[in-house]
Amino acid sequence: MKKNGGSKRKKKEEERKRKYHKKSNNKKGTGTGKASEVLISGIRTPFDKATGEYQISFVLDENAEDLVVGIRIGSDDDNLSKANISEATMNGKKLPIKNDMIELKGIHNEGEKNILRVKLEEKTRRTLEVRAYAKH
Amino acid sequence: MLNININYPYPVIREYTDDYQSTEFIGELKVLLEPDGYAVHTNFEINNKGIQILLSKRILTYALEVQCVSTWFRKLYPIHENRVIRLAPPMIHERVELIPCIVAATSIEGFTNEDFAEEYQDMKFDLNAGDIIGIGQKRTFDALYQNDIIKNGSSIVDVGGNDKLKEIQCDFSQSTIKLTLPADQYENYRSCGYNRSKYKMLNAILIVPALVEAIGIIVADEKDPEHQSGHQNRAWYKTIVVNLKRFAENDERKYLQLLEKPFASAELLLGNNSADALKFLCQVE
Repeated sequence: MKKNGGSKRKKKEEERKRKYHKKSNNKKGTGTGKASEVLISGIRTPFDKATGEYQISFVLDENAEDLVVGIRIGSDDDNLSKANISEATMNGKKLPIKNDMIELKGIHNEGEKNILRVKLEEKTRRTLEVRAYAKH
Repeated sequence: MLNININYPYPVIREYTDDYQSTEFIGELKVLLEPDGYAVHTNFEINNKGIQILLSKRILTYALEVQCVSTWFRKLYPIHENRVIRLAPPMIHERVELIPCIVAATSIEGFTNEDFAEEYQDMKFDLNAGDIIGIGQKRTFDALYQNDIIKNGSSIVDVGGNDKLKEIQCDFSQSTIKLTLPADQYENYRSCGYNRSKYKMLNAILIVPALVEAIGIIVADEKDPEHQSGHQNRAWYKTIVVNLKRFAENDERKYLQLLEKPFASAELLLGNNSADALKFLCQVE
């Protein structure tokens, strides 16, 4: 079985990041005031059927202050709809939600891994798009 | 159906390691143009024992998603034993996307795998039939309408007349190659065109030289990709490229050899036109 070398994998990962963020600067704004998008990677969104929660984790690719996390729900036709967040916690602490965006106050450093537990009003298991924004 | 950039609520195998620690999904594809359409040859493999067992039990299945924006065609083909998928030309046109994937064939309760990435360790997932659990590398190819494929020498060359012209003109800037003849020559062309036995001679006089010049344009593009002709998306260009690649059996080296011989290749595209043209001439008193 063919195995990827380290550099090949890194290149593919960079390509994946580039693809994922290709629409990040569409000049239409983010709905988050003056905030702009923050690059994140390693996004994972497993759904825990028992609790009805998504365990959303991601790594920050740049420094940011007062992070805001937005979630959209995927569909069969590639369209994304806004996810209504009913509850979000981090390390057991409840996080503030404003305009259906999760707020992570404070300074966040590049390489930092964030793990959130999020409950959506939509009860069935869905594919998600996760994006982060900050005023830098 | 399949969105490469979206995050799934369970681990998904990719062409690179991500949700799994060392599992890689290799989805090799080879598209060949055949007389009745396109044949997609598949060769899928995965280096994960647990997934291999589920595949052998038909709980999971390899599949190929074919999407064509131009025709709105979208279909998921289950793949068993690297089968060949045949796509009829009327179904697809221009850009066709092929995505190898692994799909749950039945519902699975408590799906887990030893190779899950750290975040998923000790987690179990309930999967529904049809859930995508593996996505391979997306490939694309350009498909032609059935009528674009050369059936006779004139299909990609239009011949017309113009009263103001004194010499023949050949224009490559449209979807077909436009040959414009001075009015008197055009009259002669039309009167010959009524006689089927003269077709091969007409090809020899008008179509072969036009194809030789067209192949010359393709050769120049191949040799100097930084200064392209800008004709690459025209139907005549794609048709010649696809047909020459077909004659070259999709072997890049053979294809380049054909491009190096524009005259012989033009004759090949027209089904050895010179033989019939000479035969016809021999019969003329």
